[in-house]
Amino acid sequence: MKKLLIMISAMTAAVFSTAKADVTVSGSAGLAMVSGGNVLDGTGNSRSTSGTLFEQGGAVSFAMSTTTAGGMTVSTSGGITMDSNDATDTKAVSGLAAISFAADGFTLTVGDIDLPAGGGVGEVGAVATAHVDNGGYTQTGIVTGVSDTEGYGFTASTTVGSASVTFGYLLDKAPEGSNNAESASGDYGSGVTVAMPMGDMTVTLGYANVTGTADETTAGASVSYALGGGTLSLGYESTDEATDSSSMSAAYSGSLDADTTYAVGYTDGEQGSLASTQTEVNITRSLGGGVSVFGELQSNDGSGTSGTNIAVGTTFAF
Amino acid sequence: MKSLVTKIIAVVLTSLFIISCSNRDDAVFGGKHQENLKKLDEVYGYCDNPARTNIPKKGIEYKICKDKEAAAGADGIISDEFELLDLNKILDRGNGSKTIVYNQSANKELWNGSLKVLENYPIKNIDADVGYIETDWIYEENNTDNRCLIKIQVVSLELVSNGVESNILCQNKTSSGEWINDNQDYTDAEKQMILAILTEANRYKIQN
Repeated sequence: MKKLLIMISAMTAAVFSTAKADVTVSGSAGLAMVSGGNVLDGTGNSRSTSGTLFEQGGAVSFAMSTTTAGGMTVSTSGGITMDSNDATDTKAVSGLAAISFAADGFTLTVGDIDLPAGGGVGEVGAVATAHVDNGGYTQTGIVTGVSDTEGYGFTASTTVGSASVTFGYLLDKAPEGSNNAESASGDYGSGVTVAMPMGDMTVTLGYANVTGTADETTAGASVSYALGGGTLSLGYESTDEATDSSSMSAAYSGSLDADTTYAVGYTDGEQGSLASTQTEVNITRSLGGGVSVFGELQSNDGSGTSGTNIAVGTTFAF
Repeated sequence: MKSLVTKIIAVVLTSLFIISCSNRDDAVFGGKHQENLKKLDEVYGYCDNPARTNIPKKGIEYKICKDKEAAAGADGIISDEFELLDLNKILDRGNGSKTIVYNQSANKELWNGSLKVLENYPIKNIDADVGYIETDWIYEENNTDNRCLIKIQVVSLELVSNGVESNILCQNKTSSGEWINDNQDYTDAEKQMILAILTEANRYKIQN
């Protein structure tokens, strides 16, 4: 049987002598029409009129990776963008500030990271894109998660038994530069998520804390369940901050056929004396060739400016 | 300050311990990591999966990831051809035919690469739908008392380094004519086979 192994070795000899590094370029673009109340303009401020907002943008990403002989993949990425779902016209260069190390049983990311559970794992009702947020009608009673969810640190993800565990630590939640931080910043953060698949159900628990000038803690849980051909998700999030907040949310998502997906979400939140509800609906249809069209709706009620924002648009993936 | 440095050292050492214990399927740490990631992808979507820490949850990469997700549709596959909207198909009207959803679970390049690597061996089981290939018993010309078979499983829709798994099983023939497993560790050979498949897969990708 040595011949078999020798043959495999010979076949792979070339592998060791050639670089296994890979650089890929991908991109996307999109345009949308948004209507509702007094739509947001290019500076993020509300216009005094309620016309239809046309917005578009695009992004290019360079993803770089290499694989060691032991099977570990090291990767990073960077790119340029003009956000198509944000009314501001800032052109940005980003990325290259984090490096990931991935192998069979774990993924470790070091650098500019998102704090696990910082945004609230119990918030499941936001199913629409940010396009509808520019429609002018708003809510002010739904605030979930800690205020600073991004900074310099590391995240590690692995499996413990049947549970996926992700832990993150921020050396600095507000570093002067996204690519560096020093250990005595005083603005630390830590977060952990635990996701446990249980048959048709998945339970996710999250906890995050940030320190510094404002010490904030958020804890949440969500349950997803395969139901009637789709997925039903329920969530609860509670955040201790200057003015404590909490929210309950639900979402149902599924597909109409191989190319069409839909999602409906509902969120009921309060922060101090503010209380709001928000309903979002999204339907997306793939047209092939990297093209898709979508339509979505966001209905706001309670604290804020009540009303319904609507967006339709198309995105292109290259 | 001293406390923080101690914490960081503790986390690094703990991570190294976890990593060192995570290379077996039945390991407590990391044993079903890839399997769990796929399950969570179905719940959250690939881009929003909280366990995929290498996918940022905002910014350029996230935006492109979401646009690709939208372009792929419910079956996760981006069709080659652009089609105008067919409302009759969406609403399932017209001839009353039912929509057939085909779920491909194996990356095309990894699948072709696996076939290329195994092209010199007899194939006993092959299932393109689930990305599984198993060779028949392979014998050496001058030594029929040993035999091996190779199992390949493509486990990813994407061309990624951990998207294919291999397993080599060998047996020895006893004096009474029974075949028993030789219980040898073929981890290095399995890794080399995966690298060979990745090389072939990358070649297919460049060609296409």
